[in-house]
Amino acid sequence: MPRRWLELGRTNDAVWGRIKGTANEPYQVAIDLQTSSATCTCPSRRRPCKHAVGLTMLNAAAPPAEAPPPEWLAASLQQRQKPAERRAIVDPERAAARARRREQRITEGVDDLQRWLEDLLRAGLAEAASRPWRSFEQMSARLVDAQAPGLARYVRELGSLPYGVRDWPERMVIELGQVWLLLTAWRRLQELEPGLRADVRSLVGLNEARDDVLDRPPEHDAWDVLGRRVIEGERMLVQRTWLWGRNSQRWALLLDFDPGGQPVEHGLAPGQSFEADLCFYAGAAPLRALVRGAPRQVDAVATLPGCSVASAMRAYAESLGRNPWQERTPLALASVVPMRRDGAWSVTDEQHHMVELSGPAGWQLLAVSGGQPIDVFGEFNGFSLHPLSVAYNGRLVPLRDVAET
Amino acid sequence: MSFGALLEQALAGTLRLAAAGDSRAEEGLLRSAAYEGMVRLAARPLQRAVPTPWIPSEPETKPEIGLAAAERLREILDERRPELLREWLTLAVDAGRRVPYVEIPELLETARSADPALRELIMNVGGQRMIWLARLNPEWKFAAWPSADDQFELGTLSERVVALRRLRRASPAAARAKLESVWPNERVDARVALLGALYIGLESADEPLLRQVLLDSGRDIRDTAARLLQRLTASVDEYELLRQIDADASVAARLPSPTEPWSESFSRAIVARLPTLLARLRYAAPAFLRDAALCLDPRVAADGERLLHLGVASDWAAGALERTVETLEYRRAMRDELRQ
Repeated sequence: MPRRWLELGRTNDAVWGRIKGTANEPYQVAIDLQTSSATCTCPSRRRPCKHAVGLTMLNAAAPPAEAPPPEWLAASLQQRQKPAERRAIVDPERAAARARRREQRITEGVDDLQRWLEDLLRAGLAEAASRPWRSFEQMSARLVDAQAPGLARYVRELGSLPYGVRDWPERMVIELGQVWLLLTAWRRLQELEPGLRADVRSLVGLNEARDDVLDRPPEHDAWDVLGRRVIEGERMLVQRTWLWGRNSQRWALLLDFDPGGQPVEHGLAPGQSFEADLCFYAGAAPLRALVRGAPRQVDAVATLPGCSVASAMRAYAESLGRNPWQERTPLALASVVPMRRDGAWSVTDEQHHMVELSGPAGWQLLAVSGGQPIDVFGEFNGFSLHPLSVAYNGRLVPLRDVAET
Repeated sequence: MSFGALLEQALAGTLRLAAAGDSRAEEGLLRSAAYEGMVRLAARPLQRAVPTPWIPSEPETKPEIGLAAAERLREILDERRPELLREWLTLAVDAGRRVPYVEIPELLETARSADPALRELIMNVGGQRMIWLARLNPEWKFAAWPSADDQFELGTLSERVVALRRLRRASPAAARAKLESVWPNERVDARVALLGALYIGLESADEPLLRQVLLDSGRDIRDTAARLLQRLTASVDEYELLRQIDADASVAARLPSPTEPWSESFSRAIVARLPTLLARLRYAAPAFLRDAALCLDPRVAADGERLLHLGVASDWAAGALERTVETLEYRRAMRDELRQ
């Protein structure tokens, strides 16, 4: 269960929150964005404390909404005994210097990560399988210190790849290769074309500011909400909502984080279509987007933009060509029949091409299909499809959405 | 380097390789992993599998519930209102509807660990697709019977209880005849369990059978028969209760909370007396209304709304009534949706 933030807010200079700890009164946590220094009212002697670290990561992943600062904030920040030279307006030179410092720290973290990867390979993956989780955890923590939360998450996920799965060594090698590719791309950031550069920056953990994204010219369309997946992370719920633009014929992903542990309601329910303005984050093949203004429901989704397995795999390969680090891609398959062999689920299309399924929805798919071909939408990770919805009888049926850990 | 060779080196580690002279062996390996891994992801050969065609399921005979009712079921299953699952299922069975296909696996999972009464309700709203699906999973074979007759002839005891309840719901007389025909050959435990199915569609034509069973040697069997007979004649007790309530309204505030909802006729009689009752009960009214909201027969609950409005209109009851109002509205919505 993620910790509960009772309050979260942000101004140009600071991020703050209140969180329930073991004491009666919630702790007040504040981070001065100018100096990256943190204060917290918790009794821990360790500084920065876990609350401050949590808030930093949260701010990097999904900055809280802007809000008027609470009364306690000013006092809290002054406790830092820093010269009170904070300015109302951000000085562009100072901001640039700060950005350079952060990039420098990230590069140091990247160097450490490279050495760590090499150590891992020197000892061999067979040995890595028996490594304690802590070894991954420590590297991940080091990357949080280096202000590269994206890389930190990558390393954590490496460590949590279950050894049990059949193709663990294969997946591990692919993942290691991708991390290395990312490190190399970071070092040569200036040589990359702008879209890819934006992808690399965000993968490392330098997210575009929400407001900057919302300032872009939006894509207006009727967006079909095709599926939603909610994952319970260590610190918060992560909710992915997949949209398909009827006229633009493009995918969009809405990513919501909720530290309070409640699924985010932006009113875009799977199975419904909305007219909305979407602003896309920069990238080689922009996918993640924000909704600008209020979406207006138009009707219900009737069909999926499905295709054969062969076409879907070709599209997947092409999208890897544009962004080789994507962990998952939206995939809609037309006229597939669910199949179960030795307890493992898959779907096959009319050409008898097969895609393995993951997740809990196998029986639901079979129940809806009744053995007949159906159109399925889900997330594809290069190995298997995690089904999220199915088109049936001229209607999109969301599969049951169970929060996963 | 082939992916296989790469995998081998990565597993063994560069330290153990003889070619230790290469100080950049790890970086070379990482570079290969980046390239070969990407090839692996992007250019995986398509997997082929020739599926065995599924035997098609029988055509459905009942209409599917509407969208609003489907959403309600999902909410109840998500354990926001688990206590209302039985009632919702009963309403759906009465309405002669079936659930959306996508809900079938979860309902089968619920039925797997449920008592025969709940199982019977679930099997009654599953349609042909539930039978079809249950055949494919050994854990659901309890629901795979093509007909209640087969299930009654060949099933385990708990399956036969479910079957008799299903038969009883379809035709009380036919189910009674079936029970009578097998009665002499049944063991004691089977007799008790099967007799309980008569609660569904209990009618005065059951009386001769029940009177005969009262002479049975098994004590549990006699008790069950006695309870059923009592229930058959309960209207007499209810009449007496109503007479008392009319004489002294405070009796209504002390109505015992029955384990099963009040009968339809008793519910109607109570609703008809509401204005008088509420006026006379005053401070005891909230407790009475709360009980009534839970015990009223669902078919009368629509009239029970009057109760809600009367209760809310009186200041002294409003505060205590939130839960009552919510329950009644929830049940009304359940009913209305299943009519759509």
